[in-house]
Amino acid sequence: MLDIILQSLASLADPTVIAVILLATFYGLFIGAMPGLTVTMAVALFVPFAFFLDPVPALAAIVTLQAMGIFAGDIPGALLRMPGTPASAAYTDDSYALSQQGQARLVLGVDVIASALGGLMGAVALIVGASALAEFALTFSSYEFFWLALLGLSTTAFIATASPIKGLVAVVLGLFLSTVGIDITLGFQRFTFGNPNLLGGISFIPAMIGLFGVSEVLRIVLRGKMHLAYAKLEKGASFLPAIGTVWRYRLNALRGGIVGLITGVLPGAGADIGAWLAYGVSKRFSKEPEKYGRGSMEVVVEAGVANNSDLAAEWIPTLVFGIPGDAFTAVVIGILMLKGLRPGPAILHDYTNILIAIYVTFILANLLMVPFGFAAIRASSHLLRVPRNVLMPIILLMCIIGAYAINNDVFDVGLMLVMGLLGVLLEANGFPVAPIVLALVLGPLLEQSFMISLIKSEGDLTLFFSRPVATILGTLTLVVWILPLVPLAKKLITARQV
Amino acid sequence: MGTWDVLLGSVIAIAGAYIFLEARTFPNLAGGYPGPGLFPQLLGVLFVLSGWGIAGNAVVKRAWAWKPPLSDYPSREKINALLVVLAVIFYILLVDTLGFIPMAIIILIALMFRTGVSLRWSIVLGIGLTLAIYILFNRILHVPLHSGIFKYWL
Repeated sequence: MLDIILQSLASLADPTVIAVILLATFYGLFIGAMPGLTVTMAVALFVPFAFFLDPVPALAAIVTLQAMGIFAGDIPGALLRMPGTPASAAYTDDSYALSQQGQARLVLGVDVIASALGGLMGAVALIVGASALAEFALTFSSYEFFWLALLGLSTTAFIATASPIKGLVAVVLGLFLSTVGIDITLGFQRFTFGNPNLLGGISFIPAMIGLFGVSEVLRIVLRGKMHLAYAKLEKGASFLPAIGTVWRYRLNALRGGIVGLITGVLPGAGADIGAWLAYGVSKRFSKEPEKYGRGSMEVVVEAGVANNSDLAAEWIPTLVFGIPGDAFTAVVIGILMLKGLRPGPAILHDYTNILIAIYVTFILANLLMVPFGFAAIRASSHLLRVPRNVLMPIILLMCIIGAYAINNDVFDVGLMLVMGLLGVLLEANGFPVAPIVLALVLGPLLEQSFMISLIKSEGDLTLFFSRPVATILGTLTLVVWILPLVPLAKKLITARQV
Repeated sequence: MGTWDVLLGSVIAIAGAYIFLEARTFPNLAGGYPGPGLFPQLLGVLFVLSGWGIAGNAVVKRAWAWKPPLSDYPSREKINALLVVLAVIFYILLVDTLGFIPMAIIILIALMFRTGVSLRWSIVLGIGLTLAIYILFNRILHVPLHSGIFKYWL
């Protein structure tokens, strides 16, 4: 074991890996700081680079850009009242209000420390949790995998979206897209319409680049604001005051970290859900709930720790079960497959060195976040000054190359465009797009485990609940289905009483 | 959302019905076990139910407000967005003949100029960035970008 750890550390000490981590740091900070550009889009555009890198530098870069990007999303939130990433949205009003009160530098400093702290908590949970769960997951049969995949999709459809029915449509659309191509049981062509380019199915990465890259370019072009007005940073030190503030709210930080870990491990709930949940919990237990939304520092600490602890925890179901926590980790699964690494319970034994490299990178990235995060705060006014009319055409070109480079096929560029237009249409009408990606990735696993379970049970659906873990997961899934009906039932009861 | 919900809900329900009927024609496994058609059939049913749900909800709430598509955005920005879409279509159709470099230069200059960058800067950035991106992806990362009209030089 010691040999493997030393081997992993040596692979990370390679100058190429260090250079890649540093580049990913700048890339993540830049994309996160640009309002409208998401970390999910950043990782989708990174795919062509990942294609040509070895597994360790590719994964180290992804881990780094994720951590940096989620922190940097706080910068435009505090200075522009526009969250750089959805994970920062929960406390944007508070961050911005504090900036307006002349505390911009302090609130951004608190964001750095809270993010690094949350990230380190998540890294510890990942190291402990992945190993423990991998052993446990080896006992899973098709029933458990079916329920786990369905639980992830149900969470993303019914809990992680504003409209459960539209979330359901997004999930079903993603699942349908995953059925296109040659079926694995009989080699039968499904929904290919005679097009040979569709025989291998809908290529996941171009679809993802379309949904998150092209649609974002289109939305920003439609909004038309190419230069943004931002709040100025006041002068003065922020490192020690930020540490002091986080220490003052240490219990909030701890609670936020735990909330983030729980939402992270739950398949289908992303860092944004973690941050919103932490916001709700924080307000519920606060002595000053009236300050929430008007400049509460304690919620910036609590939700800031939560969204970053969520990030590392999301990798647990991703690596151990092959079930992504959110759209970002869905791309991670795509990249792992691209590198020939199959996520699942056996990953702990099959790719121990790579797994250890991921663990170490999580710790390294969150430690690096402190100096680079404070540097990014200093440079924030320059970052926000980058004109978006120069940036958007470059991103479009990167999207085209990214979609093309997967199969070296222009058909994928067309697929990317179709998915981009679909993303704009759906979001304009209140349909979330992240569940489509999650369903596209989980579709084959869900269908395969469903068919195997159905054949094993000879059509007896009660056998889907025959094993203890399957029963727990199945019950949880049913609870997630019933939850959206509760407000409806309450309304009906109240209406009858009136 | 209003009328759009009725429209989209109906489209989703019709698409679901098509998926269900098409999947019913797929073969079964040996021994009469359900085959590749079962899963898409279930998805078809879910599409129909959720499509009805979305359209029905709008009808029950009498939400008939009609807004033309993208009516919240100024027309200049809508034309710019259309230009983005046309740029990708243009790339797909002509990249094989013209090659990556001319296509990328045209796309970058056109989009930058159209969205407010001066012509001089659009040309300088368009050419400079295209060459930088070409070197990065083609020469360093070995992505086989189309050489087109430059096939004898590149």
